Amino acid sequence: MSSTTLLLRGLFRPSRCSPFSRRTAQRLPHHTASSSLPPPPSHAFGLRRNASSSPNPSPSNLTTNSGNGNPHHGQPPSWLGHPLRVILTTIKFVAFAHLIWEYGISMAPASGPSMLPTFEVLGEWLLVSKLHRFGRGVTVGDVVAYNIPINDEVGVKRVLGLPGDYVLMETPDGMGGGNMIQVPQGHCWIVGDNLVASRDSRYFGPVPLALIRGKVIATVRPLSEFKWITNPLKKEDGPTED
Amino acid sequence: MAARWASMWSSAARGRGLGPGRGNFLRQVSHYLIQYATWIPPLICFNLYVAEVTFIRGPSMYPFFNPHYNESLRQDLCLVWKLYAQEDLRRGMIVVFRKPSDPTKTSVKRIVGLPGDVVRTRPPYPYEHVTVPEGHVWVEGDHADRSLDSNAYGPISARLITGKVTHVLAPWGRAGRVKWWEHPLREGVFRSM
Repeated sequence: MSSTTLLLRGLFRPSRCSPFSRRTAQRLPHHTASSSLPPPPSHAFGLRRNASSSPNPSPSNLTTNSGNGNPHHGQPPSWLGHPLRVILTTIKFVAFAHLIWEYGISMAPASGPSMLPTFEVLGEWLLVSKLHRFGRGVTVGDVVAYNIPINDEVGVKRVLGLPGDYVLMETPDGMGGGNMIQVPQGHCWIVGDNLVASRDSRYFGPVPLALIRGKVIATVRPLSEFKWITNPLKKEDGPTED
Repeated sequence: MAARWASMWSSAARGRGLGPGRGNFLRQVSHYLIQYATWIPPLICFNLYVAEVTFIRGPSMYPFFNPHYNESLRQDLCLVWKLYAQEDLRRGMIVVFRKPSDPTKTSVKRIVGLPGDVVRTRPPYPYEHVTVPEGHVWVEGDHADRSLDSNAYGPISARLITGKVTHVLAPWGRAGRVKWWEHPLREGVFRSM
């Protein structure tokens, strides 16, 4: 809360406008007037503000940057608008880009030995499809990025069980005793490819689907080694049931 | 910038040979529509990360929320604070989290046990005592008989928590800050610290 109010106070502090020249402040009413209503049809796109700042817009203003009627003769036109408008536009653009990143597609570096045959220990960059967040459309065999339930980090593992499936609770090497559980409703069973160096559902149990951030669809770096991550459990050919 | 795009759009619309009056109207409507639409992403981000106003449905937090759930259809309107939702969790706080059994739904419960606590459970749970694991919390509704909570699905990961209920807004008589710290702690919780 305090950081937000500080940020807002910093944005809207009146002294924030002081570094900008008086020219900008003087042109504020003209600019807002020109932006709240569309310009007259005869005005060109790029010169709209210069034309509207002159008292009597004449055709000569459209061809030269500083016309006869322009009171700010000799000064270069500011292509940035009022600082408040610049800030608001930046906020809108950042929010839009963030939503694309959070709900569409994103890219992130990954490290660690837990997915070793599939991903390198260091230097991997993964393309993550956020359309599959909350496990939407994820099937057994997909590689997913998920919030680790017991700490604040993000992990990448392979889905081995979906709700209703029966999975082995321990590593299938004969030492775990072979206990099986049924993955509960709304959960999935996540295990790394490198069984001996992976901390996964065998350690913290089934993971709620709400913690799944997306499905890993490709490794992108270096670009020469771009590789789609496909589900190895898909049927190659033959009749499909559904 | 939005205004510039809007003006470009309107000039394009004007070029389609519409009459002067109608073109002017279309231009203004498209201008305002686009200008309003550019505020949708910031609003979504605000609702995601800063605060959200939601209704509390169901009787699970009776009598703290919806004290007249069996007498009227009125629901409490609450402010959910989402900034730093998973940090500084305390026993007694009322949190909003995604249901472990269904990721598309959210639930409102009170935190009863923190990581390391030993909680004496209630009937649906198969064991009498449970130690809350690392990174998890034990959540329960105030209305033990009508609440589907950790006694049904076990301790939940703190990463599922999306917000904390800080204010009641809607029934004017009870509007104000949620004083969760004044609520008595649930018996049968052996605190780790």
